[in-house]
Amino acid sequence: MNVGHVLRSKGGEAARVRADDELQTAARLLGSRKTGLALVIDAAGRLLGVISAMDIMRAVGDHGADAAKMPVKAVMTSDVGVCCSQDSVQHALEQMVARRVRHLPVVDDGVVKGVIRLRDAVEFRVGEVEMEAEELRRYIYGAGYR
Amino acid sequence: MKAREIMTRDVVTVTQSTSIAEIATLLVRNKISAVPVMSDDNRIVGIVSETDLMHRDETGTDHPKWWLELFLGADGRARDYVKSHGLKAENVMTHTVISVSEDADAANIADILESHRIRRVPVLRDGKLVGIISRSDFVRALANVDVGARDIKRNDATLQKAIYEQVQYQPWINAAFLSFTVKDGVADLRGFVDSDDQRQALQVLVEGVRGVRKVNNNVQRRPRQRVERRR
Repeated sequence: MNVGHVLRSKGGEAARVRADDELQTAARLLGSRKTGLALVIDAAGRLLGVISAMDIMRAVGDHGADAAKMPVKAVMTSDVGVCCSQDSVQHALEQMVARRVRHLPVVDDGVVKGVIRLRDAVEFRVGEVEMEAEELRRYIYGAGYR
Repeated sequence: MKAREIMTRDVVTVTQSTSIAEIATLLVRNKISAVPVMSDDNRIVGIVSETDLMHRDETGTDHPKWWLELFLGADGRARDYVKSHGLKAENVMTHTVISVSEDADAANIADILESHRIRRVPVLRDGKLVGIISRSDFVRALANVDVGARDIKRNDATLQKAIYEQVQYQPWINAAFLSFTVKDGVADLRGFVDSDDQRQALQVLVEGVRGVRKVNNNVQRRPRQRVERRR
């Protein structure tokens, strides 16, 4: 089971903006999608960074209403950890914990596939661990032979 | 931008004696992550967040491991015990609440949320709660800010449209019972709201629309619906 499975079962579709979009556009998108994070991509679908509610808060704090006209690229976070569809869910989780983030963009061959959320990854791992335990129990008690 | 331009005005609150179960229900129903706790004289005395409710039997997050640790007697365990077995808001709330005034600058508020690693901050006027601000309020404020029209005199039709847009974005008010007309920059508000607080908040909201010179607030409180008597 890998990151690709989680994306397919949980729907990892993420909000996307362009680096030259105005910050107000990004804010409206986050509001209407009820999410705290959007991916910043270029015309070819390559990931340039992410923009979060935290980034927008910082920009409004620093620039007030003028932040609305600023380009997304001025405030986005470009040092973003990523994973690919083939990575194990465990690996994605470890990355999120190490970076103290709750979302990880999934990038295959340079193209963004979506975002894996901490919550979905944890849910998936818990399910996996429970299944493993059940299989182990069956093996020990020989349930498979009855 | 000031706190008053950013904050959410309709704040769900509890009292010190509100039960944990009720608080949990409020958080889920209103899709919020915390509630301020108010004293009898309407002062904020604490805040209860999702985190404060964890380790509770009712929420199904109580782990056997936690019990073991309790009996190992490490510092702070007794407090956790109260958190798990206290029945009311006053037993689980965080007492030291960082709050801001409605004149606080957005920059300060952003600093506070970041540096204290908190998710929300109550907004006070003369010690009374008038709003609450979280990160998503900044996002909403920026989404609504009217940049293009700044310093430009706007015609009445544009103003009217701007007012409708502003009002429709507010979760605390039902725009279906309201109408707005604008003449020479003077906004005339008519219709019905549920409370005087809403009426007042609506006025502040419309006053904040750039280009509005004056507001005539003719909005009324909706008459209470009579319960039909059975005969």
